[in-house]
Formats: sequence, structure tokens, C-alpha cells
Amino acid sequence: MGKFFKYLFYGLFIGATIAVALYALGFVIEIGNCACGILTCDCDRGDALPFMWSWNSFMTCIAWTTIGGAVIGGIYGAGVGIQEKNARDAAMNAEALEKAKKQREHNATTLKTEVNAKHTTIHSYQKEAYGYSIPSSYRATDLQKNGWMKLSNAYDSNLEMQAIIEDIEEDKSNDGM
Amino acid sequence: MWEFDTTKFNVAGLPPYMFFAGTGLMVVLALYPFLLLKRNCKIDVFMPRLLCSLPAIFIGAKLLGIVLNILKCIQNGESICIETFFQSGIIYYGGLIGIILTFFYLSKYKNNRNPIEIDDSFDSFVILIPLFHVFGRIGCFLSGCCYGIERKTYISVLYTINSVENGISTSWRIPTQLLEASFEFVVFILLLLLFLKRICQGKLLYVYLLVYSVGRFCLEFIRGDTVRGRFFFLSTSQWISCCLFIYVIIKLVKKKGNEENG
Repeated sequence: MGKFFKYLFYGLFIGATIAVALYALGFVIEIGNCACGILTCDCDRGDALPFMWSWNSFMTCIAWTTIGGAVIGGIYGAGVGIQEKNARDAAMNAEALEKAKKQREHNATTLKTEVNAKHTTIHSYQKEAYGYSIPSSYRATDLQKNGWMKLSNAYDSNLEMQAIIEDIEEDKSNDGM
Repeated sequence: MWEFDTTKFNVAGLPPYMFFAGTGLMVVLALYPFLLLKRNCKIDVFMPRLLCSLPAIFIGAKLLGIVLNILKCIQNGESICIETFFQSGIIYYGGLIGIILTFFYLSKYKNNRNPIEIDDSFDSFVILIPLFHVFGRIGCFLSGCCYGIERKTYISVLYTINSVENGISTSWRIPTQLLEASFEFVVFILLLLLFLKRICQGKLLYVYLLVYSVGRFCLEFIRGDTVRGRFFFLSTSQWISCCLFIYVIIKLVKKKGNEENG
């Protein structure tokens, strides 16, 4: 609303100024017309702008341009206000999106640490079951590439192991994150 | 059929043309922010540019009037004197070319905004031209200028005018001003629909110039004011219409060629 009223008053002022400027221009034209009359020895020539030099016409002109200026100024101000509000909202949305992205990245890092920890636990189970371990450079994504790990049936009933497998399946479906 | 006396008519003390041209200007300036908002163009960038371009209407219209007056003097073998400049009228095509060139210059070369935004702001501006002209032509009718030929038809008006050629005269005339105003209103609606439906995006100026030049060329055959001059059986405005039409066709063909070549 602030912009609306600000530009409404600007428009009002500019409108009134335009009316005065128009009459000043009319005056210059009349002087030119008069000079032209003198140069061409035509002293009986009429006004260049008939109707213009009356108080009634001046008042109509000033009222009309002032109202017009105020309306245009008001619309301009409202439009600028709307666009500024839209720009502010867009900036706030962008900020919120950036914040959410950072949060997701943070969560992903935490999750990755968890997966790696579970990976290490699996190592120990595998070592116990088969007598070998997956190289320590392997990560969740590598395990995905190479197929699901074969675990001993001895651990099927192990609740902790089942929970880890479920978690890893979930991570796998989330591209190893 | 009806009658109208332009010699004594004024709007609350103001000359009708001045009143209607001013009103038209206010209406289009009030509409422009809405159109810019519709296309998400920056109002505070393009509105001041339009305002800065406005004096070009008067300068262009007057300059073309002076040039045509000089050409008429040469054609009639008259000497060019101070009255050639002072008594020249204003020509719509001059104003149109003046504001288009000025706004084009201010929009395209005086900023580094993206081309789509510039095209959109230009499209919004083009829609305003026929709307302003509707008001202008109503003003012409009420002022008694740009009148039609003397002929009694179903749409003719018993028209009293004070013309440069014949002084005060009353006769049945075709109201070409109102016909042109109606035509311009139809063009305005057409452009507005194209704008809202995003058809011919960035090419609305060409659409306007094509449609208007054809319409104006036809309307000129029923114009009765010979003061503007005729060259080789066609009026000045018909020559300008032909030139504009050919220019736009060449421009569109070139643009299509560029688009096809990538």
C-alpha cells in the first residue's frame, strides 16, 4: 500500500505539472503564430489554438491531467508493489529450498556413516561365517554393484542382523545413501 | 443518418482532439502495467521507458507533417516559407514510427535484460497503439479533421466542418474517422487475444503493421481531406502503408530464413 500511495501522489503532482507545461507550450505556439503573422503581414489571423485560452478549459485540463496522473501513478505503484512482493516471496522460497537441501545433505552424510558402520558389522559376521572379509575399501554402492551379500543361515534368526539387512535394503533402494 | 456540427463543439472548454488524445494516453498508460504484470516484466524498468518515448509521438507526427508540406510545396511549385513549417499538420504514421523507433532503441540497446523480457515488453507496448488510436480517431471526428468523402450512404453524417480547403461547409460525408476507430478497436482485441494466448510472441508489432497498413490503405480511398497531398494517384498514407507492408514482409521472410538456418 505504501508504494500505491507514494506513486499516486507522484502521479497527482506530475499530472498537474503536465497541465501547466501544456499551457506553457500553448503559449509558445501562440507566440510563434503571432510572429508568423507579423512576418507574413497577416495581423488579422486568429488564435493558433482556439478554445484554449479560457479559465474553463484550463480548469478542465488541470483536473483531467491530475486525475489521470493519480490513476496512472496509483496503478504503477500497485504494480511495482506486487512485483516487489513477488520477488521477496521468491527469494524466501529459494532460501527455504536451499536450507532444505542443506538439511538433506546433512541427513545423507549421517546416513552414510551409519551404513558404513553397519557394513563393518557385516564384515565381522562374514568373517566369522566364511573366514574372509570384503575389502575395507568397499562401500554400500560397491556392494550394490556386486550383488547382495550372501550371509550364513546361522544368522537368519539374528534380530540385529535382520534389522541391518532391512536398513541396507532400504539404503540400496535410495541409491546407497 | 444523423448530423454533427464540429465548429462549435468542445469538451468542457477543451478542443475535442486534445481531450480524446489525452484520455487515450491515460487509458493506455494505465493499462500498460497490467500487461507487463501479465508477462512478469519489470514495471519499474519498462514503464519509465515508455514515458520517455512519448514525446517522440508528437515530434515524429509533426516532422512528417513538415516533410509532407515541403513535398507538397515542391509538387505545386510554391515557395517554401515559414508558414510551410507552422501550418503543417500532424501525421499519425509519423507519430507511430517515432514512438516505435524510440521505444525500440530504449528497450533493445539501453539495457542488458534478457531478450524474452524485451520481446514481452514490446508486445505489451504494441497492444496499446491501436487502443490509443481509437481515442484519437474519435477526437478527429469530433474536431472535424480526417473526414471522409462527400457521399450520402446509410452510415453518412450531415457533417459541418471548418476545413483549410473550403472553410465552413456542411455536407453528407462518410465518417471515416469512426470507421477507422472501429477497425482499430477490432485490431486491439485481436492483438490482446494473441498476447493472452501467447501466439506470435515477439512478433505482435509485425502483425499490427501488416493489418493496419492494409486497413489504412483501403480506408484512404474514402478519405475526403486532400490537404495531406497525393502523389501518383495514391495518398501519402497509402504510400507509407505500401512501404510498411513490404518492409514487414521482407523482415518476416528474413526472420523465417534465419530460424530455419538455426
